[in-house]
Amino acid sequence: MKRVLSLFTAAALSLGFATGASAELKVGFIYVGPVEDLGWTFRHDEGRKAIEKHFGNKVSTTFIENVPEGPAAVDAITDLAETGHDLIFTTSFGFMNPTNTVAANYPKVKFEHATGFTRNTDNIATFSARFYEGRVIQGLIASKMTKTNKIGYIASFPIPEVIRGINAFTLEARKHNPNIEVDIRWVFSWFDPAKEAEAATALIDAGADIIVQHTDSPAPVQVAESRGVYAFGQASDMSRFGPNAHLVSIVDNWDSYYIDRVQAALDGTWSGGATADTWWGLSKDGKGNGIGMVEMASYNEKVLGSALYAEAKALETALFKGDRHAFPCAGLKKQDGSIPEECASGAPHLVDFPTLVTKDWYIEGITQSIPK
Amino acid sequence: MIQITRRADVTAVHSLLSVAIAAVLTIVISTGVLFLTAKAPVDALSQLLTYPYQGGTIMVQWSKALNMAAYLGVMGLGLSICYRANVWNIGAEGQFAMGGIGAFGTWLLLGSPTAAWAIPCLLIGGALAGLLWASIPALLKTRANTNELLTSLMLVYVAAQTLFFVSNGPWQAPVRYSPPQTIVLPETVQLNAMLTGVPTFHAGLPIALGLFVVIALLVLYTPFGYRLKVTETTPRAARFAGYSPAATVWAVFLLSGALSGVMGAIYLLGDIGYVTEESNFLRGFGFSAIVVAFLGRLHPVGILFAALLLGYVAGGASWIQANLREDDSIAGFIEVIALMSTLASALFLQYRVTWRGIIAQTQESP
Repeated sequence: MKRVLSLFTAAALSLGFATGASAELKVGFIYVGPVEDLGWTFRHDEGRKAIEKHFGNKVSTTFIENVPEGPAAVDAITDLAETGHDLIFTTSFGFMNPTNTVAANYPKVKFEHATGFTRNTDNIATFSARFYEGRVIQGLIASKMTKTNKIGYIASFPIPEVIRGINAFTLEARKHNPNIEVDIRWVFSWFDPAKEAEAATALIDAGADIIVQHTDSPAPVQVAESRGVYAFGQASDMSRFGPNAHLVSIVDNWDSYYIDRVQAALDGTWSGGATADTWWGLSKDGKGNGIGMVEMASYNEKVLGSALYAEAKALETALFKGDRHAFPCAGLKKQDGSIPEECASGAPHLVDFPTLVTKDWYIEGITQSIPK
Repeated sequence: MIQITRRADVTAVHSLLSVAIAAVLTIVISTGVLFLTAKAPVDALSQLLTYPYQGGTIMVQWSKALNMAAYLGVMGLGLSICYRANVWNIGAEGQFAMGGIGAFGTWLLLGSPTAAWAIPCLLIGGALAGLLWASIPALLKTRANTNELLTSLMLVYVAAQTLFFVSNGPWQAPVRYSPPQTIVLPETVQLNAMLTGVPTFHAGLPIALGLFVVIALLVLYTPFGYRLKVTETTPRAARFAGYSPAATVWAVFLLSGALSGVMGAIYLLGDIGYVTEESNFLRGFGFSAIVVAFLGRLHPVGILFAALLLGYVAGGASWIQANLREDDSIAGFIEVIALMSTLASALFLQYRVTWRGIIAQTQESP
């Protein structure tokens, strides 16, 4: 009892100076999954650590994980703004409206929203990666590795980012092997290892011998390994979850963008608003200059064989330098057989803005329809 | 053989003493766990207790606590009415969800109005939906004598799937969001921050307070309240008095269902503005309300304090999570410890626990 009393006294004494060390800039992160998801959220947290490492004591960081994408997100983002965070990264598409809501209430706080496209106030910037460049490489590899010509694709939510990944993959895969059929299963979750594993199992049972995922856990790779089929890692390097199954991982690399933005906030050059949307692909500018947000990691050379490995690397280089685009207009058709607007007006390939940001149609060759 | 009998000599002093013991137990155990688990326990504890005055916006911080307390208080009071009548409705979460769905459905049925006259209609629609949802276990209980504990709980999951269905299916917004949701109600139909400018300090709070007072008066000072009291303490006397058990089941289920439903509507109109799938729509208010009912010893005044306590602690936990990177699950832990302490102290002070020989089994227990 005495100890408890002394604890209370200590607590009372600390009231006056409880706010802690004062860094120049407080940076907060909102994560949709757990830091240990070994995929999407894990990579964002690596970005947060890169900030800490780069700026040392000048910056302090924190995060709130497992935040649902609804009103609870408004509360969590508000909490970060209320506790004096100057720069807040919200790292899931579903935080788009919550981030805009809170940003309107806290005009002095800077907000960075990943993968969204709404910036209602001047204190929001958005950023995203051209993940679809990685999907092109996966499409090439899948087209050469499949024996059943059936690819299982585990998708999260029918939003543009996921749909353009499916399109980029299918387009490239069918270019090399027109008999390929992509079987898409929607799990309606970003992170749910049980559901993801269930989907992988169902796809393999239905004849798929390669699993592609747009969800955050390594569960599908593990299922592929145990069932003796192939899989691609998503968001972080998942090679260790399937030494035989894993073909290559698309790794998100947010480090250099995060450091840039924190530096800008420290320098007073940070800006947001209507045009503040940053997209990096394999390279920063899409023309081969600078390391971007998308990285291909741990090609499984042994399984791919040297010829396919070399072909995939060459494709990666072409995409890195901008010699190749993921969506060339030549022969490109929508699922309904029509030609996309900008292709009809003579563009060489689909453009990021606005087509790829908002597009919600499948390309020709996908037999399923987008869930309504 | 352990035998538990109600003490005949329980006084107000006993009751207060048991509350005091529960409070001390809760404080000691929670503090102990916080000190074992927190990275900076002293800061964590002090900020947990004083977070509205730690540098944030005071109104925002208080609104977090009061807003949650409003949901827990009204729904907890509704549930306490059931429990007093020995009716075990643990499905407030589902009745709350249906309240939200019912309110949104009402808005659609009215032709998507943008004028403020729709607000009372939506609240009534939500109350009716919650009432209808609660009528299912009431019907099953009175007609088929099914265990309402099971049916009311299972209907929570049916309601959760209904949320998923409407936000993915017929009511899905034309612009796709992840996760799927309906369109957002027009601002003119929302209970927005009319007075304070703080978004969570919305007109739903005075409505909830008004409801709470009315229901509390009903429980404390009306024949219906007296009937509950008789049913709670001496079920046999209730039967002798001519109170129909079936009518009691219906009354308490419908009343608590309507209260949860109207809170679901307030949540829709004041806090969220749209219907979405369950993991993003539901926040466990309906389950915490069960805790609040028992923490408050099924008495309106106790429930008011219990709701304020849990609301305040939850606000503090989210504060220390954001400010100190502590785990906010301490709030859930404190909730559970408070409940266990309350139940345990009530058990030992209001009941006599005795160890008897096997012969005692043959004795008639009261």
